[in-house]
Amino acid sequence: MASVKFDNVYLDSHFVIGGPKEKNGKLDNFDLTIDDYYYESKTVEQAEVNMQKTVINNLLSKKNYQDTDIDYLIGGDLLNQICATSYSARNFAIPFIGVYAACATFPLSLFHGANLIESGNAHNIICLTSSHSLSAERQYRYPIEYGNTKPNTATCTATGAVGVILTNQKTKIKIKSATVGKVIDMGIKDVNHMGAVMAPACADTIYNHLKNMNKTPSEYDVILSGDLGKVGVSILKEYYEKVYNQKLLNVIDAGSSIYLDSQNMYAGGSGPVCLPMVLVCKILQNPKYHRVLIVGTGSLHTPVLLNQSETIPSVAHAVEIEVLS
Amino acid sequence: MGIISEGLINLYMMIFGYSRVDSMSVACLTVILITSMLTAFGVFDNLVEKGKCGLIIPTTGFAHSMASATIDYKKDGFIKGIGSNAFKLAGSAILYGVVAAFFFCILGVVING
Repeated sequence: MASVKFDNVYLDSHFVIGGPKEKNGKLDNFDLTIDDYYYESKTVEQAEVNMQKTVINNLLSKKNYQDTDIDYLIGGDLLNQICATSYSARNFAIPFIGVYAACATFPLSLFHGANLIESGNAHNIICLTSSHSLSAERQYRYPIEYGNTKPNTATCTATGAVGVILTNQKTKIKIKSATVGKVIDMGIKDVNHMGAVMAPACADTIYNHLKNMNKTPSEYDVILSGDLGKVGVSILKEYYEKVYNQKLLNVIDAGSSIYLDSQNMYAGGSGPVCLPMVLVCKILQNPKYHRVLIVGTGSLHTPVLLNQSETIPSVAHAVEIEVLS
Repeated sequence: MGIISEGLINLYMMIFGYSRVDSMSVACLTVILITSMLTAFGVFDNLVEKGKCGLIIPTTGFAHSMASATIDYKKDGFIKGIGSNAFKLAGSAILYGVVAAFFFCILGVVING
């Protein structure tokens, strides 16, 4: 049974940092936007660490908490050995759990956090994730200044950091259940077509979640997929209808909801920060959404194995959120 | 890019009185200089998005890939950064270019005598 129900886990305050392109995009309601990719630091990797530090500091000061009031810090990012999160965690006296599921890191950390709170072993937990378009570019693709042409199926890593506090005190936003997905590999090798890589994993997790929870897609006001992009989300709908014989009508893709068409960002945004950014800045701000299913989709590839002609495995994790009125 | 280079070749021939072969080398160097400088100013990658492959094949592409890799690894130091990563992208083209040139040169000597 990969699905878990929670009765006593709530989402408390949140803090979102958006990068320069995100600031000019479709979303508003950021807590902080930055104009400089370097964010008062010498390298882009340090900028990502700095963004995470700012998020944790602001989450703590928002609630007037000390480090000791938080039981665990759970988070991850895209960089090697999830270094951005580890390096930001060294500034705080909070026990740290690093998780990695590429762009599905946020729902996975919510899952771990919710489990700890539900079991009574923790009261307050910070779940944190970030991505930086330039540090990801260096990690996965080419040097920052290197210009190359991309197909329209390619996605661009979003810049930002998001942190939330999970708590056992009742708030308006409840974490109801979560499903951890299987790793699925359809044999695709194209790094410029992540939507196609991740859509089957996303479909599988949505199907398993609905089956385990005995629900239909229409029982949710919105199913927010992670970062499939414009092409990937249409693949998801088509694939789901063909394989599972059900229509997904209420899917919104987080990656496609960040940038304007005029920003020329190919198929949209990607990165672990997309999903929580759109969740916090758009979905939770809109009173018409009450029952929300977020499905983070992660492509678990590494440039090393890709160069050795390996295919790209992907995973998706789902978390059900209810906004209580 | 071809048109600009041809223009430069003719310009150098007219102004400095170079032969066509000399003028081609100098034009090539000029293009490399301009590309590297535009890369350093952070303009070239935006131009490539508009100009696509017309802008990066072949000499400017090499210059651009080397300049961008060098800028990128500047913070990692001279030895572990710039030295070991400058040819990160252009390395295979240069290595196989040299190897191919060696064999084709032998082939040329054998055939033409």
